[in-house]
Amino acid sequence: MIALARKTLVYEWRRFLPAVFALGFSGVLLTVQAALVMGIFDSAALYVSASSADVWAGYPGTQSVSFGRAVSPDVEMRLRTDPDVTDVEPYQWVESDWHPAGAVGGTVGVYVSGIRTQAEGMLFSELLPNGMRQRLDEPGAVIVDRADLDQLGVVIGGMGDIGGRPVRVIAALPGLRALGGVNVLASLETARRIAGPDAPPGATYYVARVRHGVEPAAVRARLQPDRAFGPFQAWTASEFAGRSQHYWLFGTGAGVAVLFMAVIVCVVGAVVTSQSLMGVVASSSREYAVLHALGASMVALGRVVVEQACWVGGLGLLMAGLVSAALLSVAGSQDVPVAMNLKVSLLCAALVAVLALVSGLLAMRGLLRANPAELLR
Amino acid sequence: MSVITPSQRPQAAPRRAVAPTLEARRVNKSFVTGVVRAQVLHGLSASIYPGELTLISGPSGCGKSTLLSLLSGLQPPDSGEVRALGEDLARMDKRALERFRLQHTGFVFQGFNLFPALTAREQVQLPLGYLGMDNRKSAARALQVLDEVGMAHRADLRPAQLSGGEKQRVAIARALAKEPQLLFADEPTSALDAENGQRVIDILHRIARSHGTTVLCVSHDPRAVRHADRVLSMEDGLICNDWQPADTLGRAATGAHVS
Repeated sequence: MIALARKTLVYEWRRFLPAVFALGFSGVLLTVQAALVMGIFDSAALYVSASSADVWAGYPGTQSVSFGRAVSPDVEMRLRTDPDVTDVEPYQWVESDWHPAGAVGGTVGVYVSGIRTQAEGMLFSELLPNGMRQRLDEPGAVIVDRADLDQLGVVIGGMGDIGGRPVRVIAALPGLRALGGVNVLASLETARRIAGPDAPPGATYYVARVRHGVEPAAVRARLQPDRAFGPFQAWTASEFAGRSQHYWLFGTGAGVAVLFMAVIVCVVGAVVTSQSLMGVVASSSREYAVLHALGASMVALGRVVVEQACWVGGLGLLMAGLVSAALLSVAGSQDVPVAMNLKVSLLCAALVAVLALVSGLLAMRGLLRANPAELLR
Repeated sequence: MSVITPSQRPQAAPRRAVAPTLEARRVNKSFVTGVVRAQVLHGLSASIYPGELTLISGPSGCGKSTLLSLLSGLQPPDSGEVRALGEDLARMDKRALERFRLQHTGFVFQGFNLFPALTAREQVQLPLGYLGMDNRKSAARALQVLDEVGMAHRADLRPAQLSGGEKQRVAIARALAKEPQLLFADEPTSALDAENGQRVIDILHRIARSHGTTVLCVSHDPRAVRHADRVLSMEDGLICNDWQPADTLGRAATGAHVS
């Protein structure tokens, strides 16, 4: 069988270009949008994903890391009594305001994370380079994201004020950006000083490391609520990270907005692509009509159109992949919160493929003009 | 060069010994444009025979192309019967008609309607693929047919590299590749110069004679009239004259093939 679809595509590539671009840009929009959403909402779980702790214990029903409430210091004891827990450390979460040194007004909401400063500390272990954690021992020492320095109006080594306590920015790191505020890393002592004397005892969370080879879920299953230790609930790190992301994505309406945007992108992509393809099909309607007169069925002609759509989809996919990779790379280098994984990129590719197929099916309407009787004069 | 006028052709073609391959019996066809219904064919009957180049001629709007579309199964009549190779086309569903056309008919249109991306050989191969022929066999068959229309040496060229006459010969080869028993041509020479027009008519005539194909051609080209075996002259949706240009005698239009 002569490869009519492919040969036409190669010979008349300029006519197919709008459809390839339509699909390609739909793919780019879907991918970049997904990457931005994942990047932004990944920051909701940054505290968990950037830490090496296996199990988290916090106030029962906590929907996201940033909504934690203090739990009793006894919870630490409860964690330590588990035979498979090898280490436990507290996590002090304090919400406060940042005042630049010497400035009037211009406060910025900050989330202070009070963490253990010993080298074996689990919290933010994925972000903190060797030695930097220990430097937080200095009273008032804090670390912020390098992209937040401008917003805080401070430079590395500069002073500021959080909740009336003087602090000094000892370092700025990439990958610390927060959702709806500015993340500030400090020692437990600095965080407690900022929280003030009225802060409840204990910590916002206690995190634990489990013995190598033991499933965190098995430990979490043993950590059932116990009145003797006060109210608390345990999650594995992946459960708690997913819980935080899920809340921001679907509990706040943001997920619906993202899905709505994705649907708009798909509809616009399908309309533009199908119109472009239909134009190509319609412009060849007389040739198709001759084939139909010669006995080629409409189903066979439809297959040619769908095959063309699949080729266009493949090229659009390639274009989307290359452009998206370049854009995400640039975004990443500019501290724009973006993230992507294989599952989501495959989902975006599948959506583009479906778009191409739907566009091809819609473009088959162009074959309706392929009426051989119309060729007779 | 002589021109044959209607006054010179009062003869009806004699009844053949062979059965007609195409028959229209009291067919009516009308078209609706807006709220106006225009009757194009008025109870027309005609029989077309194999091995002949039969020409339908007549003024614009007389219904000659409509008759061709009915006899080729591209359109159904409003009433009456159309039989092709002994089969009643009106009784066939869409699929059966497609199959019938695939197996038995070839078409040549005024516009060449060749796919710009395909070479002459591929244009001819294309319909063979729908018959299930593999590429190797169809390529050989395409070259053979292109040779028959004098286009084998241009087999690897695309339409943009061919003249109008060459394109039409490729279109004829495409129609012939399936070795159809019925070949329909609609104004095949009207877009061609004298030399190419003559060549196309010669090819159609030769196909009818050498392959025994029923060639039904709609044309008002006088060159076509001279080379036809039989001419059906139409006017106002009826055949008003049925004659043989080669026969210098000529008889009345009320002959055996007109009703």
